Amino acid sequence: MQPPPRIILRATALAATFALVLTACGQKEGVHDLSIAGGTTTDGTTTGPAATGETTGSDTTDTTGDDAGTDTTDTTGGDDTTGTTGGTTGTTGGGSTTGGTTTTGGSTTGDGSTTDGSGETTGASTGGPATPQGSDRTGVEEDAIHLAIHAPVTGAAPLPTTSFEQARDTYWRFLEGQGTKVLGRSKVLVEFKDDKYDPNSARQACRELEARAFIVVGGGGTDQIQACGQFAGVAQFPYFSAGVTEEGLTGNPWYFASSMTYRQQGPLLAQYVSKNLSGQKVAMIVTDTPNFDDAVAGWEQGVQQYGIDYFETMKHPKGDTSWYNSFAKRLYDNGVGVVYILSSPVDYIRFAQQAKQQGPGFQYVGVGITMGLNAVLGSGCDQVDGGIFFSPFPGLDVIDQLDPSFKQASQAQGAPADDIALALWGIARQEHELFLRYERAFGNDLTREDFRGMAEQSQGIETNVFPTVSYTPQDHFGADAVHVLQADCASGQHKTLATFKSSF
Amino acid sequence: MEESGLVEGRAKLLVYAAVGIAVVGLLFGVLLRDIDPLAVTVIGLQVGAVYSLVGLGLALVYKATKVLNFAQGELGTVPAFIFFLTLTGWDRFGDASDPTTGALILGTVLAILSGAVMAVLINVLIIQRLADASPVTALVATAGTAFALVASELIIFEASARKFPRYVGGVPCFESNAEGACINAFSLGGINVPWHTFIVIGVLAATAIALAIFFRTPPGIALLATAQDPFAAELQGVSVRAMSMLAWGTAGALGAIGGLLGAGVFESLEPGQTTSTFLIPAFTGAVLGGLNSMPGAVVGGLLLGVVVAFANQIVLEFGWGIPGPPQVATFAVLLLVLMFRPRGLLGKEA
Repeated sequence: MQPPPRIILRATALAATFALVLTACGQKEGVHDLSIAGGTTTDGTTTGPAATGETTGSDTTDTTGDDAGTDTTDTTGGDDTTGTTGGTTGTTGGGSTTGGTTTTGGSTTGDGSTTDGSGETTGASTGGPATPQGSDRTGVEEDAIHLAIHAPVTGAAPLPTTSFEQARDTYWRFLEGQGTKVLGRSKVLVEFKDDKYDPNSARQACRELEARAFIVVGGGGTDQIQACGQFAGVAQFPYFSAGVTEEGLTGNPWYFASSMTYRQQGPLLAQYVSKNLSGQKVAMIVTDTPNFDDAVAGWEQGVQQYGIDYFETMKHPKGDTSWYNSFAKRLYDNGVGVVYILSSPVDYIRFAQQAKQQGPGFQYVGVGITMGLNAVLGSGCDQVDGGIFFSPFPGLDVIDQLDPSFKQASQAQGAPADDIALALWGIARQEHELFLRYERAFGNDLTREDFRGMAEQSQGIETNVFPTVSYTPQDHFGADAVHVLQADCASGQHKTLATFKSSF
Repeated sequence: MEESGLVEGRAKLLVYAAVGIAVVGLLFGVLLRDIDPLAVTVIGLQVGAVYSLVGLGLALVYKATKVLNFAQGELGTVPAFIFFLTLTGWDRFGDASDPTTGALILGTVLAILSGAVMAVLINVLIIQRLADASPVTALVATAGTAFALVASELIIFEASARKFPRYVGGVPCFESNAEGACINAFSLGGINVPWHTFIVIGVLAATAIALAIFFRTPPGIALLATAQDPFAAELQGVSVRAMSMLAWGTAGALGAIGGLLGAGVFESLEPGQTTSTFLIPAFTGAVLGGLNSMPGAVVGGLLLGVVVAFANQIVLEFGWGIPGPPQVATFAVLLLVLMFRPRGLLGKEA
C-alpha cells in the first residue's frame, strides 16, 4: 500500500487547523470575554471570574475587570445589590439593566487577592453558570465535599468532646436524609480536631485539616481562631469562625466572621448595660492578651458613649490561678456591681466562685462564644447564675421557634441537641447558603478561589440561627446583631432574653 | 570545723533575712502604702498551701530516689476523680455537690489508697527499671506517665469540668441576716477566709509534722540512708527497693491529699487539673525551699504563693502593663534561688 500523497497530508493538516479555529470561534458567547475579565492570573493568584450580573446576554455594556488592579463600577445599576442578585438576571435580554450591582469584576488587587464579582457571573453571557477560574479543589470529590472544624476541647476551655464529635455533621446528614444534594454531591463529610486551647496546636491542626478539607471552621477560642485565620491567609483556604478579635484578621481575604466581633459587640454591650443595669458601677476583667485589645477599645468607647459609671479595666494574667481574690477584693472595695468578663470559661467560673466567697458576688455580663454555653453552668453554678452574655446563636429554649429542624434532625440521628451542636448547625447552615449561591453562580465545579470571591460579595446570608451576615471585599466582619442569653442555674441552661438584637 | 561552717551559713541566712525585711519594709512604707500587706498575704497563703502540699510529694520522692516526679500532679487528679466517683455512686457524670459524711470518709480513704498504689506501680513498673539510666531519662519517663494519665482521664471522664465538693463549705460566720446570708464572716485584712483554707493549712501542718517525725524513726532513717548511699544502706540490711516503694507510696498519698484539697479550692475538677494548675508553682516552691527538704517544700510553697500574690497586687495597683506578673515573679524567684542559693532556703547538701 502506497503512502498518501504529500498534498493530501498537507490538506489534512490544514483542515484540522481550520477545524480547531472554528471550534474556538464557536465557543459559547461571552466565554472569551469572561476569561479575559475574570480568569486572569496576575501575580500567581488566580482571580475569580468577573462578569457582572446585569449583563444580559450581550455583555457589552458593563463587563468589568478587564484591567487588572482597578475596579470598574457598573454605570447602570441603581443600587448596590451584589452577588446573586445580578446573577439571576442573566437571561432577561440584551442590554437590560436590572441587577444594578456594584461590581468589581475580576480585578486583582495589589496583594493578589481577588475582588471579583463572582456572585453576578450567572448573568454573564447566556445566563448559565460561569466557568470557575480557580484551581484549588482541595476537599472536593466527585460525590463528596470535605469540611473541617477545630475547637478547644482540652486545655483551659474544656467543652464536652462528644458534642463536637457527634454533632459535627448533623446538618449535613439531615440534608442527606432529605435527599438534598450539595453542589450536586450527595455527601458532605466533616472532620473535627481538638486545638487544645493553644495557638500553636491550633495552627498545626489547621495545617492538617486544610490539606483535606475545602473549608475550615474555628469553633471557639480567640487566640486559636486568630492563629488559624492568619494561617488561612498564608495557605489560602476559606476559614470561617464566629466573630472574635479583629486583630491580625482585618484585611485577610480568606477569613470570614460569621457573627459580630468582640470590638463590634463592645458598644452594643455598653448600651445594654447602660439601659438594663443602670445605677451600678461597672468594671471589666479581661485576659491579658493583645488579641483582646480591640475588644477593650470597643467596650471603652461604648462606656464613654453611654456615660456608664466605670471603675476600670483590669487585665488578668493568662494561665495563672492567683489573681482571683486580689481582683475580687479590689472590685468590692470600689463598689463595683457589674463585671464585664472576657476570659476563658475556666477563669470565669473560678473567679466567680472566689468572688462569691469574698462578698455578695457580681452581675456578670459579656460577649463571646463559650461563656454562653450551658457547659459553663455545670461546674459554675450557683456562682455564675444570672450572668448575661451576647451570643452568636440563640438559647435552646427558643430554637424550636427559629429553626424547628435542629432538634428534629438531632433526635432522628441520635446526635446531641445541645448548644454546641446548635452552634455547629448554624455555621453549617451558613456554609450551605454560600454553597447554594456558589451553585447559582458557577455550577458544581467548586474551587476555593471562586468560593472565596463569591463569599466576599455575598449579602444578607440568613440562617435563623446566626445573625444575618453581609460581606464585602473590604469587610469580612459583616454581622450586626446578637442574641442575649442569661444563665439560669435552676434549669441548668441559658435562657434567651432577646434574639437578633442590633440595639437596645 | 563543720560546726563553724554551719554557724557561718546560718549567719548569712540571718543577714539575708534582715536585708529582705528591710527592703520589704521600705517598699511598704514608701512605695506600696496603698496595699494592705495582710490581705495580700492571706490571699497568697490560700493558694500557697496547695503548692506546698503538692511540693511535699515532689520533695519526698526527690529526697529518697533523686527522681523529679512530673507525674506528681496526676497522682492528685486521678484520686480526686476516684473520690468524685465514690460520691456519685460511680457515675462519671453524676452530681457530687451534696455528699454524705460517710461517702466523704470512704471517698477520702479510697483516694489516698489509690494515690499510694498508683505511685508504687509507677515506681515498680517504670522507675526501678530505669535504675541505671540517667536522671533525665527518669524525669522524661514521669512526664510521659503524666501525659498518659491525662489522656486516660480525658477518655474516661471527657473534657468537661465537674462540680467538686469541699469538706466544709462557706466561711466561718459570726452573724447572718434574716435571709441566712452571712454579714459578718471571719476575715483577715478584709479577705474572708473560708473553712477550706483552714483545712488545707491544718492538713499541711499535720503532714509536715508527721514527715518530720517519720524521718526520725528507724524506717525514716533507713530511707534517708538509702537516698544518700544505696549500696552502703543495702550492706546494712536495708532493702533499697522497699525503701523506694515506701517513698513513692507516701508521695502518692500526699499527692492524693493535694489533689483533693486543690480541687476543693476551686470547687471543680477536670482532667489534668492538678498538673496544669499546681505542678509548676509547686515545683518552684520546692526548689525555693530546698528540693531535698520537707520543711523547705512547705515554706517554699507558702512563700511563693505570697510572692505571686504581691506581684499581682503591685501590678494591679500601679497599672503597670507587665504581662503575667505571677509567671514573671515565679521564674524570677526560681532564677534568684538557682543563682544565689541553689540548694534552696532550707536545703542541705546530701
